[in-house]
Amino acid sequence: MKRWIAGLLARRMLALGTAALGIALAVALTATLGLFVLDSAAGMTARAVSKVGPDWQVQQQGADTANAMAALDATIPAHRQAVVDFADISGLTANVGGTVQTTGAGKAVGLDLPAYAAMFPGQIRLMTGSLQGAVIAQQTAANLHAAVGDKVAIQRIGATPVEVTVAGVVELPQADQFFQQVGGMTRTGPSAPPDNVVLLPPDSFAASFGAQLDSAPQIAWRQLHLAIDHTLLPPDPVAALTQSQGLARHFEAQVAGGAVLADNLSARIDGVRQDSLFARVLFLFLGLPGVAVALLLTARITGTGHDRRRAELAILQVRGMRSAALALRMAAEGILVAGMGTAVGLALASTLAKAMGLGFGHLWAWGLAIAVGLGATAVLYGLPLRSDLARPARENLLPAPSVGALGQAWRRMGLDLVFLSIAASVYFETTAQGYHLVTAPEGVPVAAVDYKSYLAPGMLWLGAGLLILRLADWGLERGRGVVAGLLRPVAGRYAPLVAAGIARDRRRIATGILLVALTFSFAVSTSVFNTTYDGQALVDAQLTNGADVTVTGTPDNPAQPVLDKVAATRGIATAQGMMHRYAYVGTDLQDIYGIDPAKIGQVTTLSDAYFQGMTAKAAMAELAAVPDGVFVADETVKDFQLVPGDRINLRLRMAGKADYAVVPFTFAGVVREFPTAPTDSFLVANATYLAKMTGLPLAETVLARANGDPAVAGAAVRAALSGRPDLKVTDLTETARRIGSSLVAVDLRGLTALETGFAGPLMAGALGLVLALGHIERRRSLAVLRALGGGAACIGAFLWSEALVVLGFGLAAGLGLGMVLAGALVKMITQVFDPPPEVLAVPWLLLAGLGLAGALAMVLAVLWALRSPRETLAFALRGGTDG
Amino acid sequence: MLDSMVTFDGVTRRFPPDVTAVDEVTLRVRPGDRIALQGVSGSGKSSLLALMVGLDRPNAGTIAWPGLEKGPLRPGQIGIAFQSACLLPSLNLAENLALPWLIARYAGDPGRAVAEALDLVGLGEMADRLPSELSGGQALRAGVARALVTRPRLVVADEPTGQLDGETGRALIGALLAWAEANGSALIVATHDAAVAARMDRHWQMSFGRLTEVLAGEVA
Repeated sequence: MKRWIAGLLARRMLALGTAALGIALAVALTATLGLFVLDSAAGMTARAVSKVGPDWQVQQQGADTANAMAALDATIPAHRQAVVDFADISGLTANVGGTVQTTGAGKAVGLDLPAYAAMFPGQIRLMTGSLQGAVIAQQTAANLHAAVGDKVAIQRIGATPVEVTVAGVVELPQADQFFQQVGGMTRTGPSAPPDNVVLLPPDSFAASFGAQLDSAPQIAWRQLHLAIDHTLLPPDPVAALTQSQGLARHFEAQVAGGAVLADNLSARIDGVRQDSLFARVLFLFLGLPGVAVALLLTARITGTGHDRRRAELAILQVRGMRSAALALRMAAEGILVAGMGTAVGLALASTLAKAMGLGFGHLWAWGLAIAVGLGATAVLYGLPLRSDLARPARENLLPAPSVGALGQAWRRMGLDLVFLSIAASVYFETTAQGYHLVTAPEGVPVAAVDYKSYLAPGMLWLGAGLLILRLADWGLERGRGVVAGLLRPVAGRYAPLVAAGIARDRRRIATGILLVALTFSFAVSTSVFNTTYDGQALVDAQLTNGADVTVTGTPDNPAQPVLDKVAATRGIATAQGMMHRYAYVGTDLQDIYGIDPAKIGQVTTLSDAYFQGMTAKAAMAELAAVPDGVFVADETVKDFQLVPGDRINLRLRMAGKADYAVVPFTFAGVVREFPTAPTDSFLVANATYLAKMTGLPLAETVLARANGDPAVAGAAVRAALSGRPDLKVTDLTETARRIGSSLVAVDLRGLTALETGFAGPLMAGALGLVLALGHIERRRSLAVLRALGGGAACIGAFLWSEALVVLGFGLAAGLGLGMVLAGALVKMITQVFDPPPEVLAVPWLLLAGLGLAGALAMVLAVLWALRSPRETLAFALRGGTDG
Repeated sequence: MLDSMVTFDGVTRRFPPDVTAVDEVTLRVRPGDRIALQGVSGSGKSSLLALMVGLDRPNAGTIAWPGLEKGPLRPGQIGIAFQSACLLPSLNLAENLALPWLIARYAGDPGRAVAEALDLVGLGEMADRLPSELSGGQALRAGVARALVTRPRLVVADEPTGQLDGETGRALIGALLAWAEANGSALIVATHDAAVAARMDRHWQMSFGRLTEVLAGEVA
């Protein structure tokens, strides 16, 4: 046995090595993609909990603080906490510059602000002044025209006002969560936080609201804000959610109604749970075809050596070797390939994982990869061996039994068309009804992926693969004349003979075309999908932020005066003002945006999906043509039964007047989305018309396009406007991070790099291997040509022609299949796109590079075959056989 | 020497580790020669023929083709019928036979020459057949026909009747001799068949790489 293995290693190393390499690629791809997905999921959990602020907000029901504290200590020994008191107020008043400004209702908050800011970083951002003393929120400062040092009166409910001196102005980035109503279902989405907020030191709050805190829980109440040790949570979002919800329930049972809980931690993890499922979906949609292609290549390699292994088996059978020893010897090759391939694949995966900074601790990924390596070799070597061992020696000496009957049955049955029909019906059924591929019911620690939907891409892949075989087969035979014409520049006078040979050898060549097509389609579908996904993430962020950099003011503090300053800031290419006001449509108050339709496109991207029934360009042209035109939401159109050209009377705030006045508009069309606009109803009109009719010419918002990194441009604008804390500057990068939607939760750049990193070698390997194996199988034919006197021109005509047919048809079919797959994937997981992409983004440069890698492999394979070993000539003269 | 087509002068061909397939052979082939090359298996016949048609190079000695015109040696000047048919499996007989014509860059359509060659070996009705659709003997005859398509001045056939029954073999050799006569071409046939050898004018005997027992006056 040792000598047998030594002989295999000495004489069959090339065959063993190439087969092991195929297995290694499949193993490495499985392991790295698995690590990537599991690491992404863990990263999602970590990111979600890191920006959670207070993990829990516990609100006392009654005065028994000790009981709540004890329950907390019993439930979560490892936690820190801050006491935060709230009180409703009827308003704030400031006397600034001789005028009295009064706000509406708001909230007073009592807490140790410096300690709180240290315990929950990022929850309180100091804009100006100090955290020591009474602090007001940025919006409140704008409403009151108040600055540090000014005196502000707090209008207490049922008590006399108290006056405080403003020590600082802060921003509360997560005000919606901070001021949420505790008790009942906690949501990750925003709920309206109060505009008017004053934050007081604990002693100051106690002096002003202590009595209410003790006796009027409907006006003043106390919360404990907790920071839990996140290392207690498992990395997987689903497991983390289960654990965090378990802790919350345990606490609620402990306090027995003595407190209610806002479980921000679970809410945040719940939000990324769906993202982690999408990551899993992407792994299966995008990664599996790559693994399948690697295994198909390996099957092609092992298939080439099957006749040789059968001949060896026959010799051992004739010599009377016992079946157990025989089986062991014949299995040795597969065992060696499995061992080498799996080991090399794991080593490659480790190297890649290290380079990409992925965690190694995900045993599932390693286990799956090992199972793929061992399972694939067991199938590729074990199944044929089992059949061969059952045959007598004389049958094993004959060429392998033809799989023609079985292999061609699918043609007669039309299996390709059956698969494609199933794919189409599943696809249309699932996409037509606005289904959700991933469902993660809010607040419930279960999530589900609609695995039936995998049928569509799976059947498409199988059906298209078989259809490529059928079409290649048909085209090479029926289109022999066309092929000869196409090959004439390469094959010259040999073209008719070459085309005839290709037509008769079409089954083998069609298999090569299929392998190249599937490999290229893997590269195309992943890169097109990923590029579209990345682009859409940007569109999503831009829709939220409005532009690369946005300066937001208020109707009282418009940003227009700083327009020139913003436009002149380093890193800004151009800037435009956009009005953002409010208008009554009937009794409904809606946001209204005033724009310059001719110029808005210079600073932001308008997608066709934003408008109903027309393109963005047509919509802007319509608005430009109708000065009093207004685009309204679909809901408004239905509510008011509007048709284009209808007059709409809106009530808008006028210059110098407190009341709203009627302004007539003409209904111009339906708008679904617009930069910075809310998701509910809003309006878009001409800025010049709004300015003319209201007498308020200044735009509240400034949108700017960066000529480089939006984050850098945003920082420059922030610095330029440092003297205007009342204006808020946001940039695209910051917004993309903040919105934390499904789109940006999975770092597709890493996935793209990983997949294209594998697609390149697979592409080159597929083409080189297909051609090289073809040449090996036909080495006698090539030797005969050489013996007849055929030089490089003659032999090259055959080799280059076949290579170009495989490459050309393979790339064309792969491009088509890849685009269809990417389109189907984008459509199927359209749930994560808001708005959905209009067209697929194709990374042509990357695809051209992969095509070139294939072409380079083709050139190397042909040059290798063109070399002229003398033993090959003697082999031909003495009547050696192909194969 | 001027009337020689091929000359060997002390030609030796060795293969590693220490096999001397052709051992200091000196010979001359003249236009119109009919030569039978005989010898037991492994005596060096095929190695000698490989050197003669330019498929191999000697380790020592000199080979020259003074009587052959300039241009490609194969297949325009020398036609080869291999020990086995050596047909390209993906081309039919007509296409297989057209290959030498195209390789030799002959002008015009090879169709007529191909048809004549196939008729000569009795396969005129099988031009559209693939090699896999032929018997072993038919394939061998097709290989011989391919050697004649370009009307070469020297035809080398390595055991062309080895797999044929007696009658077919005799008919094939008769056709070859008639064709060579009509075209003024020289013919060298490696054979184990004494009857085939008997129809040739000259007889070479290979043994352990040495060309021996040839007719007097043929070896300089």
